[in-house]
Amino acid sequence: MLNYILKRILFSIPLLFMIAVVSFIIIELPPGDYLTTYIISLKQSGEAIDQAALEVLRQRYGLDKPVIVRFFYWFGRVLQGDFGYSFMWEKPVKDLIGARLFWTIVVSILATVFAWVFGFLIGVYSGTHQYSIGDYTFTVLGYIGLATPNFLLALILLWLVFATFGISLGGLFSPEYANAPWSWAKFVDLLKHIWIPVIVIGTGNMAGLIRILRANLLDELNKPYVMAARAKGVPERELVWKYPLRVAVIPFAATAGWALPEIVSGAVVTGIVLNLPTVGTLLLDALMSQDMYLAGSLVMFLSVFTIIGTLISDILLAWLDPRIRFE
Amino acid sequence: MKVRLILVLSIVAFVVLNFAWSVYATPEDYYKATGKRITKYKEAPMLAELVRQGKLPPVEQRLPEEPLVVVPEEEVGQYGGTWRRVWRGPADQWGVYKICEAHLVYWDKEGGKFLPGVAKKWDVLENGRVYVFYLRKGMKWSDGHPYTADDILFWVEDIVGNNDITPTKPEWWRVGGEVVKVTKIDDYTIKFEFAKPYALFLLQVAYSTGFTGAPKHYLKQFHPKYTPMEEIQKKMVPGTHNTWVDLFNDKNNYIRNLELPTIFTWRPITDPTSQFYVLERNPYFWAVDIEGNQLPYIDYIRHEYVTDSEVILLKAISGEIDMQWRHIGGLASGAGNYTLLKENEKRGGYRVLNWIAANGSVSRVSLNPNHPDPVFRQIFNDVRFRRALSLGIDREEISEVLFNGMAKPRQASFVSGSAYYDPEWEKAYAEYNPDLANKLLDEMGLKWDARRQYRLLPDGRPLRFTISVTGQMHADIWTIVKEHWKKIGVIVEVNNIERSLLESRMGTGEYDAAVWALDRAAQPLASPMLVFPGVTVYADWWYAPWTSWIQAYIKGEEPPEDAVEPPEDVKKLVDLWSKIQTATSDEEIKNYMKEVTKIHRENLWMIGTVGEDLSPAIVKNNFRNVPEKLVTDDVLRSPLNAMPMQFFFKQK
Repeated sequence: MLNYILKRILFSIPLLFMIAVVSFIIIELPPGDYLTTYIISLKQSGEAIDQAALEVLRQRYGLDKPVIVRFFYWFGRVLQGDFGYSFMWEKPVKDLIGARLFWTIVVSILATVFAWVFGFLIGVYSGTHQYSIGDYTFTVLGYIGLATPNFLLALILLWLVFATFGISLGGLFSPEYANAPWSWAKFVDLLKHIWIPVIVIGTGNMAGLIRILRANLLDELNKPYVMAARAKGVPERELVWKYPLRVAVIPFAATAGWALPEIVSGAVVTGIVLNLPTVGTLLLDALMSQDMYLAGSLVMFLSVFTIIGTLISDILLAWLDPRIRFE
Repeated sequence: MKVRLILVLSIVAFVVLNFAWSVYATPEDYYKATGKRITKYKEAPMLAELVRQGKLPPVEQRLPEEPLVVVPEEEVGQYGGTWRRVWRGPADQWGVYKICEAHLVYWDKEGGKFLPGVAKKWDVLENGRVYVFYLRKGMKWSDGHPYTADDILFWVEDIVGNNDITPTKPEWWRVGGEVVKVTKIDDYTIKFEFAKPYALFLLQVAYSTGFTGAPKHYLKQFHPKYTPMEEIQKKMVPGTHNTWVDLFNDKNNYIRNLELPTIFTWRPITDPTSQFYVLERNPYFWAVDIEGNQLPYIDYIRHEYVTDSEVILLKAISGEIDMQWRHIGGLASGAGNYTLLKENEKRGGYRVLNWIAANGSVSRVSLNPNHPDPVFRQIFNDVRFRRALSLGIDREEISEVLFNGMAKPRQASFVSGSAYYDPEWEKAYAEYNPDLANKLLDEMGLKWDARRQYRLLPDGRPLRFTISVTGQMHADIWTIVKEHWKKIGVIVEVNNIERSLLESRMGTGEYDAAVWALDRAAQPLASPMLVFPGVTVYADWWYAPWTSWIQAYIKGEEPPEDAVEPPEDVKKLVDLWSKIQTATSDEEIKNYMKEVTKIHRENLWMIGTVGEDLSPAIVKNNFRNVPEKLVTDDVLRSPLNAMPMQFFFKQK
């Protein structure tokens, strides 16, 4: 088991490097660079800028050097824990993203827990109560959840809350708490806000998990060993929990791992729409203005989460299913 | 229809109840004009408390001997409150400047005349060759340090004049071939002396930031002229500051450096990178209202960082923004948001103000005058073709469909409030007349194809080209025009591309036609890049390929080998610009501008659609002293021309 975990961790290192290369290339793909974007925004605002000053900036940011040089300069510093400098915010990247990464992780974890717990419970219920009213209800809700993109769901929820209560529920805190130190009231305020992103991000995945668990459970429930156990008089509840569920949960765990990247990217998109203090807004701005070290570092971090998430799900799977361990 | 009726009524109401804010240079001027004396200065409760605690000197010592006297828009306000706004992060910092900025002279509401600001008065001598500004004795920076002519001199000599900080100088730096001479006459008098008359200088003073100087007492510790380099280097943060200039610019940044003393109305007190960015009143602000209350009325301004425009609208209609124009009317879909804003007015507890954008045209197209394809080049340079295109646009329909009828069908030209407004330019080829357009195109020899679906180029290829736009609003407009132009046999594709891609194609000349706005059309001389070709560092699509030739022409140099020579009329515009710069009177400038508008209306390099559109602002019902009507423009620093310092929250 330990061997397996070590192997998986070792595999993720080249993966990370490849992700860094690819994300850097993507950031470099659009024409121009940060300064082109900067000039346009100055032009729109009517601020004056001169060519010589731009040249100075270009040298200062190293934008006059080839992509390869910039990449290794950046990646080398990342390995030392320095993520470079954000042109747009004129601040070191690491000063910018700390708190935002924290909230991204919090929202992602809560959304994952939400999706897994409810996905599991509802999946079991639907599987054991096939074609009941409850099953149909969850099936309909599940399809809606699957089919609606996160950002749309977020907008709909925001609109519903606005239409019924007349308030806009963006953000994670009410303004009076945003810059305040932690307190019980601030925590309660957080709870009032955080449920929307958690539901929005979690719903799609929860729906998927319900469908998978339900299908697998139904397959298992009709197998001869279940009938045999039932015929022997094993109580229904004990029977379901002990045998078919354990088998049905394996694909569930595998899918839960794939769900993580979706949740992380969902957290980014939803963060923009719901105006959360997560990396979403920062990433969008950074990408639009080609603030490449900030964007690169953010993409890098998000990839690390995804890799860690997949790792956890792989380990979970290996623990649940001995066949994988010994392969 | 109903909406339009409301609009008309509100304009009528405005004409009847014109209270509009204005200023008096000093309390003495106020007394002379009205016979009323300001006997005692009062201050905000939050400052009175600090004075009581001994943390701040009393208000009489904080104000200059003669503060600026502001006549409020509606009534004398009450102190207090936090003004809730949204902003889109550091790329949006100009929005913060435009509510807080100080200027030596301010624009009035319409941008028609200059009002005293930091300077209580100014003299224009020798036909506009010499300018003398009189500052306010006893005025202070936000840290209590005296503000004097030295601070302006420091900015001129050690910031603008320093080749490391400012490698290329602004336009006013060198007029008539010689560098401007700035002299301090005494602590409160400063003189700008040019080699030749420079009538545009006051425009720059009212428009550009900077002329109010920089806090020398604070910044000199980061400047090698005053502090040994070793000490400056000790303060530099490795990785962030590579040179002393980086450190200096970092420290001389109003938005980010919370320590920087300022003379702006409010000053930042939190980190701009957090979710909420808060500004606090400047306790040393140098203006009072007509009863002697120190301005501003509002204690705090809180900006929430929002990226998504739908979220901004949602916040607006749920009443969570106290007052906002930027991202509602300005830099947003403007009149397109009007219905949504109006519908939720009651519920959100706000009112929608019908401000007007100084857009000569919200969207106009310009053809590439040096098209790589010689056949297209010839057609695009034929003025009949541009006139036909303009005549083929149904502008009424664009206004109705996309702007709720609240934008004026007009040619891309100066707005009607402008001193240089030319009604003939506004109407030039702006009516919808496909028959005349077809006649012009027939005259040019552009024949229809056999099935009469489109016209053909002289060499037999179909007449078809691409219009590059950026942004949904432009895409919507030109998709409508695309249908109109089918009737005159001109087939276009509308290609909505990313902003920087569009901009970089301008540099390489790889475009058929490109779309941009004609904004800044109220006071075009302060920001001339759209009207005068090649005279600023920015280019526009209608003249971009000629830029290198024009720049050589201006400097009197031999144009480079590959430079494309522009037609005579373009050269005339360049000549007119140099004449305007050294003109000695407003009358003279106006005469030159008549020639300018004549050249433009005949050549039609910018084919406009609709303009002078509604640019709504939303204001909470208890948020007062905001003008009902305002011309908004970058040049006027809107909403600074609504005088945010006298906005207030009405408390019951």
